[in-house]
Formats: sequence, C-alpha cells, structure tokens
Amino acid sequence: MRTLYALVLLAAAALTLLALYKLGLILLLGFLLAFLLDPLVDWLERRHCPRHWGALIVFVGLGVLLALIVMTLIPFLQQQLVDVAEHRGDYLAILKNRVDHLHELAVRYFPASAVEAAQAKAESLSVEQIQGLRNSIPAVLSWLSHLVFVPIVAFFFLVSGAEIKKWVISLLPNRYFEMTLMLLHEVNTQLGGYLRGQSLDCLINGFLYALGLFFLGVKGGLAIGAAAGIMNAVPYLGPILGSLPGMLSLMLDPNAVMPWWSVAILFLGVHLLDNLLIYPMTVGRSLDLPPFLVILGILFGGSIAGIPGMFLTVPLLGMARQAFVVFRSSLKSYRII
Amino acid sequence: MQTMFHAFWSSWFTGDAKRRALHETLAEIPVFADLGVFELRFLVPILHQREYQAGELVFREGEAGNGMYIIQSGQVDVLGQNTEGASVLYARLSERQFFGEISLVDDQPRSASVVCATRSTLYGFFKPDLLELIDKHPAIGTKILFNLAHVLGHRLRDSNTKLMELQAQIAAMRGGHASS
Repeated sequence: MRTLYALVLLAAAALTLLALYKLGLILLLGFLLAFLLDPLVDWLERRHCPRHWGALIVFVGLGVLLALIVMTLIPFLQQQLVDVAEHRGDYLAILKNRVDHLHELAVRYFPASAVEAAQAKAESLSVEQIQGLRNSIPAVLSWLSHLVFVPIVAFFFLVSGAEIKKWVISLLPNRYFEMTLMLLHEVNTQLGGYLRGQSLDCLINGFLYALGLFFLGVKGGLAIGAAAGIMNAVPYLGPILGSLPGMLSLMLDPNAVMPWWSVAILFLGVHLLDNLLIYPMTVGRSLDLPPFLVILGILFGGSIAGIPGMFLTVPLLGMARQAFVVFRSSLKSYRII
Repeated sequence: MQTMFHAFWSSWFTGDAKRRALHETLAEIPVFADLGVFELRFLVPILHQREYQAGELVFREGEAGNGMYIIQSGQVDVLGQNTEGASVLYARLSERQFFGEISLVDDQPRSASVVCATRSTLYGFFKPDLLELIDKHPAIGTKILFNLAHVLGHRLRDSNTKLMELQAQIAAMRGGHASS
C-alpha cells in the first residue's frame, strides 16, 4: 500500500512538474542553489547558529555582494553602451568592411551562383534571427522575473531539506528505506562535491579570462571574461561560445592593438590550463561522464530548455549516473538482486 | 520563524505524545542515555520511525548494514544460521531494547537477521546521520560515540567471559575424559 502511495505521489509530482514546466525549472534551480550554499549554512550551524538564521545570513550576505557587483558594473556597462551607441557608425563600417572582404574571398574561390544563394540564405537567416531575438525579449524578461523565486525555493530547501528528505523516505517500503537513505547520502555527497567544484572552476576560469582579455585590451573584457567563466560550466560548447564576444569586440574595435585571434589563443590556453590543472583540482573525476553522452545531453537540454537546459544537463546527467551506480551496488549489497 | 517551521513540520510528521514516548524510550537506550532534553532535540529529527508487521524482515544476515534500530513497541527475533544452515534464534528483543549498533562503526555486512515477532514500531539511526551530528554538534556526537564504545566494550567483555567459561568447560571435559 505504501509503495502504491509513493508511486502515485511520485507520478503526480512528475506530471505536475512536467505540466508546470517553469515551476519545475525554478524548483530545480532552487534545489541546486541550496546544494551550493549548504556548506556555508552548515558552517554557521557548527558555530551554534540555528539553521534558519544561517540560511538568512547567507542570503543577505549574497544579496549585499550581488548589489555591490551590480552597483559597480552598472556605470561601467552604461559607459560601454554609450560608447557603442556613439561609435555605432564606425562599428557598422568595420563590420561592413569585414563582410565585404569575406564576400570578395567567396567570389574568388566559389561559383557565383553558390555565393548568391549563400548570401540570400544569410540575409534571410539574419532577418529571422533578429526578428526572433526581438520576439524573445518579453519571454526572456518573463524568465528573469521568475528567477526571483529561485532564492526563495533555495531558502526553503536549505531550512527544511532534511525534513523533506525524511518525509520522502517515510513513504518507502521498509525493505528499501535503508538502502534509499544510503543512496541519497551518496548522491548528495557526489553531487554537492561536483556543484561546488564546478562553481570554483567557473570562478577561477572567469578570473583568468577577464585578466587575459583586460591585457589584450578588449573593451568590456572584465564582463566578457566573467560571462565566459560562467559559460565554462557547459562542457565543450561553453568555452567556444564564451570566446565569441571577445573576438567580436576586437574585430570591431578600430583602436584595437591585438588581432581578434589573440582572444582565441587566450581561450585555448586557459582551456588547456583548465583541463590539465584547474578542473582536476576542483571538480576531479566526480562525475566522470562519457564525452558523447555529455554532448548529446547538452544538445537535448538546449532543445528542451534553452541555455538553462544546457547548464543543467551535466549535473542532472551526473546525478542520474551516480544514482544508477549506487542503486545497482546497493541492490547487490542489500541482496535484492 | 523557527517555531513556525517547527510547528508546521511537527503537525505533519510527529505529535507531542509520540515525541514524549520516544524521549522515554531513548532515555533507556544506553547509547543515548545521558543526553538531555536539549540534546535530544537534535537527535530526534534524524531518527526514522518505521512500522513493521509480524513476520516482516528488518534486515538479513550478510546484507550491507548502516545503522542501528531501537524498539519502541513490539518484539523482534535475532536469528542466525548454524553449521547445517538451519535458522537459530539468538535472542528475542522487546521494547526499549536495540540492535544493529555495530553497523554504526564498521563497514561489515549484518552479522545476523532480524525478523519482527509481533507488530512493531522501530526507530532507525544511521551512520550518515551520526557523522553529520558529529560534524555539526560535536559535543552530542562525542557523547553518543563514547556511549557506543561503552556498549561495544561491554559486549566484548561479555564475549570474553563467555569464551573463557567455554574454554574452562572444554578443559574440564578433556580432564574428565583423561581421568576416566
């Protein structure tokens, strides 16, 4: 009876989350944020600070930090935007120059009909993309407004996570509850380690990218570097996508000293350093997933939930893989299989 | 705010009477005997209450073990196997007794099977929760560990005494055979 109750509840929860897709994503993001912040709240709890106060202190601290960053960044970004607006004509002229140069090269090496077809396709695509980008602005803003709920959910998980876990376990049949408890403990340890390691990896990479872009004289290098650090959480595609704004910035800057490909070299260098030194030290092999599965997962996550989906795929895949490995070994050690 | 959360979850998962009964049971378990009401506040939320039917298996010999069980009500049979593979009753435990405590400190499989003789209410206390308690509230964790060491030491002393008695009996039997 208890198994049936648990299955019905699980199915209802899954269906509800599927139906309320945004709610599901907010819950998931809140859950992952709670995972990230849990050690800080634990640290405060060890110093005799009640858990709810600890969570509150951590969130207030984060809020203050975020406000300080935003307050520092806003004048800087404003200056960058004003600069772009003022030199809009120059930038467009440079862009046109680059495109014309590309066109000349294409005409020289490819048949005229193919170049014309490609040109027509590129024009229609760019119009579609700009139109699509314009149409997606309200959706993006709506998404951002929903993100306000993520810290609230995370706070709830941080304060009552243990009770929720206990309640879920109480629904399970006696035969499986001890095994499930150990399973959750293992997944919790592995996933927590991965998320915290990945955050540290992003932070170090972001710092290195920002420093490098600053020395290469890329306009807005600090912000671009920080964004590239975050993008680094998406394996393989992240560093490539993260390098594009920096290259574009140098390509369009008439006063640029360094060529645009210096950004590619910087990203390649940092990526190598990350693979050889930073990643093994921060994340290690905690979620040792096959590269093919990661790429497939990223594409699948991206097609379902866009950029958030790409970010969430790897931890979710890792969680599923870890759960499967521990589940199989638990079933064996508990002599169920 | 803590009161609000506490009241919310209390109303959902436990009642005051149930908690009082559990405190009384825990006071009689040597592993938790010297914990005060304040310390029990940190222990009770990490215990898992389970209801078992008569004849239901709690755990089987040779399975992975990760914690101990406290009997709140009912009776359980601790069973083992003799050299012929037949089931042997080692002990029948009743309310306010406990079993499986060795699993809190070692990584070995369960050394015996436990089956409920009657409808029983048990509380499970598991290794990850003990480790978290030691991490977050070292004073409480140390008390529990010390009590656990005391219980295991007591069991070891008992086993040694029984072993010495058996050795004396064997020696006496051998002496008897030799003189006859």
